[in-house]
Amino acid sequence: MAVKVKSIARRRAFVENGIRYSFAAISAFSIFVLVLVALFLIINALPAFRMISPGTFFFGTVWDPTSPLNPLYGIVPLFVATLLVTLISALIAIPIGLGCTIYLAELAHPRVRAIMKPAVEVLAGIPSVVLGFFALIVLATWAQDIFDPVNRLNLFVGGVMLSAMMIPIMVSLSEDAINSVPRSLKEASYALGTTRWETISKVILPAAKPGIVAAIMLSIGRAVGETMVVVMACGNAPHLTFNVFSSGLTMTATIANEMGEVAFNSTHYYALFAVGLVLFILTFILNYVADIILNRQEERY
Amino acid sequence: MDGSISVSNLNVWFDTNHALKDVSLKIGKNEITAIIGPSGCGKSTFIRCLNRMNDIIPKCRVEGTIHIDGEDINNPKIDVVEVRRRIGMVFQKPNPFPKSIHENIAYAPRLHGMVESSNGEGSEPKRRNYTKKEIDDLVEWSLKRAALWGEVKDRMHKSAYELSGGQQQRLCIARALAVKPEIMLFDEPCSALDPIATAKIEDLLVDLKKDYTVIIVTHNMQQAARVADKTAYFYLGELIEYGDTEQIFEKPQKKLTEQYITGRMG
Repeated sequence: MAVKVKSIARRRAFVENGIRYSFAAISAFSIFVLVLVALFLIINALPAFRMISPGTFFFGTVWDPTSPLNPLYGIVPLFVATLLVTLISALIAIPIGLGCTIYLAELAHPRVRAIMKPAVEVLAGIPSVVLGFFALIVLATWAQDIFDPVNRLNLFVGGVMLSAMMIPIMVSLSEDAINSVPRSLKEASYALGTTRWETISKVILPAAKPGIVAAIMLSIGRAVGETMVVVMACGNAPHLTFNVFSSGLTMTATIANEMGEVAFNSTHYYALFAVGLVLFILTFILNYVADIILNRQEERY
Repeated sequence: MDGSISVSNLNVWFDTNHALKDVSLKIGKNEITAIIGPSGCGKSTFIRCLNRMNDIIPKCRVEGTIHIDGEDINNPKIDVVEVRRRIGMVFQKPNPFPKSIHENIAYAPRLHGMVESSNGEGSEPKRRNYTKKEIDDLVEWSLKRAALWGEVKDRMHKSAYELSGGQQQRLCIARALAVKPEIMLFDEPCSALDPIATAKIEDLLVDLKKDYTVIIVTHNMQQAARVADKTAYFYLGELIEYGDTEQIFEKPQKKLTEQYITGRMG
């Protein structure tokens, strides 16, 4: 009997450990892939800084890598274009996304909700090339009629279309955050004779705030990294501009446009990797900041 | 305004489930009324009708009249928010807000404002914003009334989640009192608490009855016997028996009540 118990225990321990180690291996693998990507980026980007001085790369205001006489690799115009597109899309997507979330989570009739929630989620599944095409053909024409922009394809059109990609992510993530606010808190507030709006703004939103902030950060991260829409809608002119109605070239669009035609191991080739590295660091910082905000919120109460 | 309640022919459905059947009873002011009965008998549903909390549950339908101070709160024209201000509620599990102790109590009064004058019956009372001093005084008064002041007065700006379960429940009572209700509803307020915390809440209930009409749902029959003046026994959505607590526990008129009281059912 004693021997049998021992052998069962040993077998159980074997199975338990096997499960633990195989899951550890799987998660280690995903981190390994991330490290590999980062290493690949860094190794390929470093030669760029031997060929271009970091000063000209980071502060240069002209991106003209194909000039036969004097190719210039200044990231500032690309960086500014990315910033502007992201800013426009965030300014549109955050209020609309928040309103949509509050409506869906707290105000909508269950029947309306049953239709609208899947609809929003379908929106998240539309391929970005389709949205880019729509921006190129339809949105750009509307914008042309209304705003009389400098260029037909411009940063504004790209930003507006990007916001359509951000909203569904924001809504589904922040709706989860609102739904995870315990019902007991809402009841406590209603039972004190507060109105629906008072309860939403003073109890539900503050309690869901970390999740909502994370949702906003993640969707901004998506806007920064999104490529197809901006390639198709922003006009891709690599000049430094702060006018959102003129065309511009974002960092992602630069890589997508130029990587296919660049000579292997040329300065331009490495410069594109350097742009990729900057993009990588930017999104990393964004996620890190979101993380800090989340933790600070949790610590307070 | 005196806080008397008169319920007649109250029916509640959750979708197709008939949860309360034709309940009629009168509850006097400044009394503690205990609602007892086995799980799922409609106790909680009943007291949640009294401050229209069932409104926020989808597919819930309420019929019948509930007169509080002679006014039918199920009248569609009545302001639900105002009803809930006049009727405080404490829930089964302590549910303080994720705010400081002070903020938990100041939350609702700050939103409602202070009643400056009530212009007679029926009209909305005039309100103005509290000053900071008035809020502090109100918070202190509420905490004293809920017998919690001494334990928390030095940490008013700490999180309410740092309090023990029993303290949190008294904080929830203080929070409800700060709105100056006339009626206090308690939905199994001690079911998540240990015996010492329970005893404190029970003492508080008896003390509160001087100023408020108190209704308490409880699973604990000894608790009902200890604190309540009147007791109502619910079974399967029906009010089986209602009377003085002593009579219910010592000479129950109905067989079902007797079976429950003596522990042969439930």
